[in-house]
Amino acid sequence: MKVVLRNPRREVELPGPRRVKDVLRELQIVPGTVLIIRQDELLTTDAMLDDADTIELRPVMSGGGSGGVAPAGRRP
Amino acid sequence: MKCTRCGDRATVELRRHNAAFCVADFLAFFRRQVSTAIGKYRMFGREERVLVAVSGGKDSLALWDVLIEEGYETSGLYLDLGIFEYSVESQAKCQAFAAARGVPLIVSVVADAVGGPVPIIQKVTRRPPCSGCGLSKRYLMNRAALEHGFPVVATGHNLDDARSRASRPRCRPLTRSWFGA
Repeated sequence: MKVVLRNPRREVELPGPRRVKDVLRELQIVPGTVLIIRQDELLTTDAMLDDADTIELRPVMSGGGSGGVAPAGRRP
Repeated sequence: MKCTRCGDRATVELRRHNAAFCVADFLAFFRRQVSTAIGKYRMFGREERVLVAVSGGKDSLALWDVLIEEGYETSGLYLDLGIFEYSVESQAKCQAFAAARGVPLIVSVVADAVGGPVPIIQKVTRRPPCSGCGLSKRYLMNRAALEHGFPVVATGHNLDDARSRASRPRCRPLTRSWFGA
C-alpha cells in the first residue's frame, strides 16, 4: 500500500494487509495526531488496509501551526 | 469500529471520551459539547450578542457555525493581518461563510489600526511573528467589540492552543473572552 505523509510530503510503501494502527506503529506516529484518509473518507485505527490501498496521514494542527507528525511517545 | 450512538460504521474515534462516531453523530456530539460548555461555565447568555473572531480556518469557523445553529446573535470579525496571499484567501473564506449563512462579517485591517501589516510589525519589533501578531489581534478584537457593542468575544481554539496560551503571561481582556470548541 502507499502511505502519503506530509511535512515534508513523502510517500512510503508498506506491504498489506494490515490494520491502520499497525501502520501508525510502524511509522512511529501517535494515533490521534493524524487524520487517516482513504479516498476522501476518514478511517478509524481498526480499519483494515489492502495492498492496493492509498492512504494519507494528515497531521492535525491549528492556529497556523507548522508542526509535523509527532513521533511515538511524544505528545503533539 | 462502530458508532457509539447508532451502531453504523464510525469515522471519528475519540479516545478521550472512549467513543467513536459516524459523521452525523460526531457533529451532534460536537455541537452538544459546545452548548454544554457555554452553560456549565456560564460563558454568555442567549440575549448577549457574540463577536466571533474568525481566521478562515476550521476551528473558528466551526465555532461560528455552532453558535449560529444554536440561535445566538453573532457577527464575525476578520482581522486582515496583511500576510500577502494567505490573508486574501482567508478573508475570502470568511466572506463566503458569512454570505452562505446570511450573517454579518466585520473586517478590520491590522495595518490601518497599528501602522503596518504583520510582516512589518515583525521587522520593527524584532519579536517572533506570533508575538507582535498576537498583541495586535487581542487589541483589535477588544476594540471592535467595544466599537460595535458586543459584550462577548468568542475565539475558536483547540486544546493545543489553550495549553500554549496557558504557559504565557496573561493580560486581562477588556471584554469577556471565551475559548470555543
